[in-house]
Amino acid sequence: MKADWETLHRARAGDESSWRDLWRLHLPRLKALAYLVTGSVPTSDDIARETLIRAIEARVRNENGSLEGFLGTIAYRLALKEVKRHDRNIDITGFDTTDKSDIPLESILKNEREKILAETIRDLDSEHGEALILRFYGELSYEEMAEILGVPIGTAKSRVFYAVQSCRKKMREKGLII
Amino acid sequence: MMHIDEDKLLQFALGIHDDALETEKIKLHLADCIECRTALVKIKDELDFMGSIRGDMPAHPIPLLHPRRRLFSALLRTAAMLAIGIFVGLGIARMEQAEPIYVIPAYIVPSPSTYSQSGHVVQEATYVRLNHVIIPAGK
Repeated sequence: MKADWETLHRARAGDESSWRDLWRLHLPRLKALAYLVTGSVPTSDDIARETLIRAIEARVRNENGSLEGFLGTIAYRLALKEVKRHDRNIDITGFDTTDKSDIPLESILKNEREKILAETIRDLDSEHGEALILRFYGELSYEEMAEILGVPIGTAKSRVFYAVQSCRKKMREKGLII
Repeated sequence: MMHIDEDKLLQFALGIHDDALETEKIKLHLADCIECRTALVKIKDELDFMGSIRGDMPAHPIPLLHPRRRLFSALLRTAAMLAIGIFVGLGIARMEQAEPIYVIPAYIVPSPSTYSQSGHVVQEATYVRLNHVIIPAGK
């Protein structure tokens, strides 16, 4: 059993420090994933919290995959459900991605770059955006992606490839990369 | 020396190269070619940046409910729902069993004899109202 899964099991058994570890290690990424799918900061907050609570309560049949992928799948499904429930508009301005450890100026620049990056990812066409989010923020393997998207593994791989190509092109246009 | 195509380097970085022989060739080439290694590092940096957005952390995680406490609170919720259900059910049952209230209304009609004086007299009821239905008295 991998260390990550052990953390989940310990948290499930009531170990507070494992619960805090899960929050610290996974919450920011899950929140970013939920934000990229829904475009809503408060919703992404709720989804990230709900993901961890559901993970604690879920009966996991297969622990061969990674815990990151497991959590990513829950968060992605919750986010999709939320998108279907509310057709929300993008609200990039409210997203606080400030890294408290940075000095202020660097922090502001990083925050701005992250905002532009978030816009860029959300501007990708839906198939590419979905593939990129699942791979980079859900941390799903190609096999897990294929399952969740209902496509062959080869298709999942090619979607990620074209998504990354498209994202790199847009990033270059916006001056995020050289 | 021929350099590796950028798309191939990207596929290599993404781990989507299915051809094991091709992958091996790329690895061998990378070992000898500093230009391609540099290009690969640049691609990996870009990929890292692509996945770098992070939401802010709340100051404190929500408290972890111990499974036993969760079970207890679930039981408590069930009991409360049952109690509410029983009370509501009993209330509805009582309402259904309630006797109908008969009302014998007195209709106020203008009296022909006092009409000119704007006076009114109470005429004896000729209709009975039974649960919002008005039927002639005596039926």
